[in-house]
Amino acid sequence: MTAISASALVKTFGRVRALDGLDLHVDVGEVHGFLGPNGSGKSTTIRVLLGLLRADAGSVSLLGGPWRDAVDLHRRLAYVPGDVNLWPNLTGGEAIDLFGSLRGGLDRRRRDDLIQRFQLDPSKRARTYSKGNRQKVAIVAAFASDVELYILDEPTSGLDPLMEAAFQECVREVKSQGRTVLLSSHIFSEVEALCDRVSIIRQGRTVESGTLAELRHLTRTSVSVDTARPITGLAELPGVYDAVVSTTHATFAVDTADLNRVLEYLTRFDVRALASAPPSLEELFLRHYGDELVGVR
Amino acid sequence: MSTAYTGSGRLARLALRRDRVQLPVWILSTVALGAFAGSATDSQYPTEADRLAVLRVAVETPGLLMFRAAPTGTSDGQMTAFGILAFLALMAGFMSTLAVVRHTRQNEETGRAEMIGATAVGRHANLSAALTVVVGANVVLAALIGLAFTGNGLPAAGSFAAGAGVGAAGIAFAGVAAVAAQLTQGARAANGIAATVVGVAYLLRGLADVFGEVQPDGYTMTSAWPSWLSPIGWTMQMRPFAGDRWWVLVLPVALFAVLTAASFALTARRDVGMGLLADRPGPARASAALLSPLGLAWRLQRGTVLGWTVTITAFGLLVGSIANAVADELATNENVTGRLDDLAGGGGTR
Repeated sequence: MTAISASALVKTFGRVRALDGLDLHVDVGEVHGFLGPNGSGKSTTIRVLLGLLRADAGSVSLLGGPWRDAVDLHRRLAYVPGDVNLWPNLTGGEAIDLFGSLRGGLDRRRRDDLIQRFQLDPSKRARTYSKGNRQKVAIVAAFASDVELYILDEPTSGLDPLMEAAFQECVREVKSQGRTVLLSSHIFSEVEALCDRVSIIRQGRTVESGTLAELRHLTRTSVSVDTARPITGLAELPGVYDAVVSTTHATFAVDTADLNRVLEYLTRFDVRALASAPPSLEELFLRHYGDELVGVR
Repeated sequence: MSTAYTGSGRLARLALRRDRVQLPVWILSTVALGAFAGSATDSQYPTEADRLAVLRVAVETPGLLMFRAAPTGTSDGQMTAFGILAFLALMAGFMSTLAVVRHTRQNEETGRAEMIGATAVGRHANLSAALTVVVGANVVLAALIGLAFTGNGLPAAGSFAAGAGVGAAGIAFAGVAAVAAQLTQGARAANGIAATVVGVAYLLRGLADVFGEVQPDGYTMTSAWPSWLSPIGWTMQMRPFAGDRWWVLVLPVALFAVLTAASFALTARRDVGMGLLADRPGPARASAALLSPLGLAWRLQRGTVLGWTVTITAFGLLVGSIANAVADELATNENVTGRLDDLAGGGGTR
């Protein structure tokens, strides 16, 4: 079952091609991470999904249908933008109820419970809220709604670590109820903790999509090893990178596909200790964008 | 059933909630201005001779015609219309354009429209809510002006015609603002465009009166044709207390209908948050002049400073052109000279 299916999306603003054939596929019940650097088209994609922007080409289908009328679709989803702006003379509580009512009603008990969990004072006027508190208003309004799909665009920007934990708990709750979450984020630990699958986009195109395990397979594992005899010839092996060898100790990165062969080779030197770390999402991400930062490697 | 207008009612209530101080203040101060100006007519110009004197000066004085209007006669109602009606229409215009932009483009500029657009509301709900509230405000304004003028002892038909003329101008300008809000990406620029249209409409009405034809009686006028191009001109062309030409209301209502249809069509064709006019890119580097406190202050304020300088200079020129006419008129008005004598402790004004 598909919650979100977008294919070959193109959107241009003047001469800027914000989306350049982007594909995105999210199954019902999964938490899907949506990663990309600033300006790569994440927010543009989300606005197209919501029907706020019209794509120049490509097709979008949400919750089982291309929708002629966004109103009925919007009753079944909740959206949190990365930069929440509220009406200065309304209180946070009023804003939460307003969004709930515009979405077709919210669960009062859950609303009050969420306000507690996020330690939000709902009687303060929005003009006095900090950035983090404005985000909390949108997050509470979204999670207090009974919807099938949550579209979250860097929702935790400005939240402190405690609130970040409360947010992750909310995402896990809705996931356990079988609901779908699209989470655009810059926070790798958040995505690693929450997401079943990840799509990485770059310059308006999807460059990688899959489970974290699948993505890791495409990349390198870091290894640190101690041996009884001096290590030789390690750096010359195919698939080994950044090897630093000091007689019986070595650290290096290895293509996950070559891992087994390299370990076999190491056993010749009588392995005493070995530690390996799978690549973090951050490393995955930097590998995709690293060439932009340091030139083509 | 869901339509492009679903949610308009809720958004209209939201707009009323946001404006629960602002709109009543606009409406009540406009009504109060009209009521005081009306009741002041009696004490300023108690006799028929006073009124004839001031109107004879007015029809010859461009500056006075700009700020007042082409006179239609010397009755209490006609003097009130001459004195304040065009200005009330101007205020209704600013109230309407500011309110429409506040509830449309300002929401888009701040991103609130995006959050609302992601909920179960139709594409046209935001604009239709804004227009509903502003049209409602103008209807209330029209009714209250009618009541206030009637309360001043003026004929009911003329009072409500005057109120309707003011409210209809406000409604026409709401349509103008609805289109302006489609054009720009920022609320400030949209307000600027709409306010300029209101100002030009006032100016056009004024010029049409200045170039109007003085009737053989020597104190009433027929405005020149450009008056028919201006919503504020239409307010005056309704001739409250001087024939009450209700049919003129067709013009502002038709203009509103056309502009509203255009703005809905534009909304349907563009993306949320975008304007039809692209923002111009600015310099990528700061000029040397910007890198001082004074330079920064000038850069941030120059638009405002230049705008006000031009406006106040124009205002000063107009006031200056009236001053002589007013001095002459004061000299022959026994009532005013008498008061000034009292105020000056009998020292005399001449």
